[in-house]
Amino acid sequence: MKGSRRRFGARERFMLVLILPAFAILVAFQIVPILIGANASFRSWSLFDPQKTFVGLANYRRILADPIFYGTVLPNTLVFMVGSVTGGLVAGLGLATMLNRKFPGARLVRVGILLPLMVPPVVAAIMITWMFNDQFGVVNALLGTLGLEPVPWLVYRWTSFAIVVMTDVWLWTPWFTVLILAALQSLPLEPHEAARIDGAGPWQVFRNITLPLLRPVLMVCIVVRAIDAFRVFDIVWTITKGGPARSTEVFSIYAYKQAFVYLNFDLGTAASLIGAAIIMVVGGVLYKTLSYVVEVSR
Amino acid sequence: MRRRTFLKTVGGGSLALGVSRAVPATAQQVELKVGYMPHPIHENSIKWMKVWAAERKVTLTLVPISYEVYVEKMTANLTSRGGQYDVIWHNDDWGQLWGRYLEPVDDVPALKKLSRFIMEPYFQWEGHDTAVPFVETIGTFFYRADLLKDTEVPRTWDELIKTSQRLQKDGKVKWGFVGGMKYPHGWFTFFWSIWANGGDLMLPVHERRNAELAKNGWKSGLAQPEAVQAVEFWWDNIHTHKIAPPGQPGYSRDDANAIFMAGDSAMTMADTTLYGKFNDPKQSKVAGKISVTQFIIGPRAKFKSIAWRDPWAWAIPIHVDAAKKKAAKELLSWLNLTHDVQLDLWKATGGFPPNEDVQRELVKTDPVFRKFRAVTVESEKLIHGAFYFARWPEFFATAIDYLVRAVTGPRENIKATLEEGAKHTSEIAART
Repeated sequence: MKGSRRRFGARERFMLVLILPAFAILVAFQIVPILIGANASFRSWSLFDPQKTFVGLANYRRILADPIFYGTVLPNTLVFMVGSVTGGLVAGLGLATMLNRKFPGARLVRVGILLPLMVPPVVAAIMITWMFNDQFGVVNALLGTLGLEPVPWLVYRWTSFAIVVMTDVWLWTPWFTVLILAALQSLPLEPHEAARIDGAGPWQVFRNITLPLLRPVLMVCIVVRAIDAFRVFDIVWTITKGGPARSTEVFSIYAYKQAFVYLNFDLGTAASLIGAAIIMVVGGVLYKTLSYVVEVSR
Repeated sequence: MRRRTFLKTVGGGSLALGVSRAVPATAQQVELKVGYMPHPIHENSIKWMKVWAAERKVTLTLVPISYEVYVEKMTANLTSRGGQYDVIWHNDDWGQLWGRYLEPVDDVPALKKLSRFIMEPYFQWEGHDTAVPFVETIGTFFYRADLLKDTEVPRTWDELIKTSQRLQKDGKVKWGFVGGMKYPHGWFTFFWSIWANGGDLMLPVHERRNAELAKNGWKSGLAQPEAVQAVEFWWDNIHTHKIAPPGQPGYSRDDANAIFMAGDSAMTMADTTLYGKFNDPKQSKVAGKISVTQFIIGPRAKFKSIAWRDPWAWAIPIHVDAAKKKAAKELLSWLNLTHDVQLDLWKATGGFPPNEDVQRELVKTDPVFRKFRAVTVESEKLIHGAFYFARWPEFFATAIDYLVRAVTGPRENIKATLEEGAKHTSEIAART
């Protein structure tokens, strides 16, 4: 009793009061909507039928049995996640390695490379859509000057999907570059010098010294970006809206369409919660991997 | 200060404050917040709303919303009883969804001047009208009158192909026809061609009453020969005859309109409401060079002409307060009963004024309107351009997905893809 009173003394109460506004906002704008959403997912809840009849797990069963969900949406989301993270990581690593050297105008190049990070994703996506427009786009105009036939980029699944991934890579490469460059500049010089004295070439130094030393930073980048890529919405919605014929639909677009295009609020919320569960598992695995890698690298 | 003096001061002050707050409240201006889509028709209607508001000292707050997110945004507002809008744009194909959230408008006098065809079944909820049309939206064929004489305008699908190829061969245009195809723009290719070939999205053909559709087992028309042939027509136009752009399956109506206005296509299909935009030299290279004709009829059709006739309307959310409802109803009636407003709507945009008296007046005085009317609402068959069962949004999006899949896949798979689509869309409709 005495111990408990000590734990919740005036100082602790003051601390709780300080936390309270943030907690209230969290409850009002995060926890309550999630609970309302969770409630909707167990009911028959659509715009035209506000009876909200309890249906148990029926909505979850329908989502999990939907061939579009498991046959298109989940593979697309995973391909997007892997493609976007790998592309951004490789490009970012390359650029960071290049920028880690001294050359005239290096500062200017660094600022230039950061520019895509400052472009709002929707603006970038609209710009890209116009670049790949089959009638007025610059890409087909360039193909035309080379004597090649114009390509209807946004009519086919894989060209559309490639454009979406490429846009995301373009937007996120600077982020990878900045983080990896900072890590490169903080690496100790001695192992590199020792390797060179022992006759290692630049590629051997990079592969056997630089990359292992960078591993913890690279893992953080991968985990953060992978979770973010799983939730992608803006770029896909702006460029393809999940089309043609739902072939580029990713997870968040699927949930959005269920709720706000088909107006099935129940299925939309069930899909969102299934997605939340999946990303928690994926995030957990990635986080465990990160912890392991960091531990091993020490 | 003694106690009595204190009470007098505080009491008097409170009373004065109360009165000063009460006076402006009674004389307070009404504010109407209008949720609309940036579109020539809306902008024309809003131009006149401003005139009405200025005369009555009503404050208008205009909230533009993109078409791409309009249903989503407005649905969220209506279901949450949000206060963002007092007057909202309403469309026939959302009528069945929003009915319960809208103020009955049977007491708006202007409704007596409108054809009931543009009110039913969608703008009816439990026996009450729920929206006031401000324009009729009717799809029509636009063609380049500088390239095609009246006698050369195609009447059949075969003629469309031959005429397009001739114009392309002569270097007059890049494409014979362009139209929106992807969701939610399928009216401008798939839907009109299915209808013009004697088919429909649901069976019985041309039926829109839910009771009749239910009686027929909510049967989709996607795999019927008329629809299969229509998709094959588009497949051939894109891949074989090359009279339509290869990117068309990914086009919205805006993409198609841009190509037509750039002078790259001889024909397009669009709402008559785009006439003003197509004819605006600041926006269009084909201004002054366009005319209209009826739907180009497919080989299976048993009629000579067909068109859809639907309205765009303004509606009032049911949760809006009484003073705003009163002002909004007065405004919406005024828009329809004022002939200057109705005539300007037609002259500035090409949108048909809903007031039948004004239409009769225009038929007598305006040869262009006469032509527009002859190729649209005076068609042998007149239908509504959507369906009005509860699952229509999902049905509509799914149907277009299958149609796009069919037109972008191998030609020999078209029938199988549409059969799968028919099964899926029937299931969706039956869940209603």
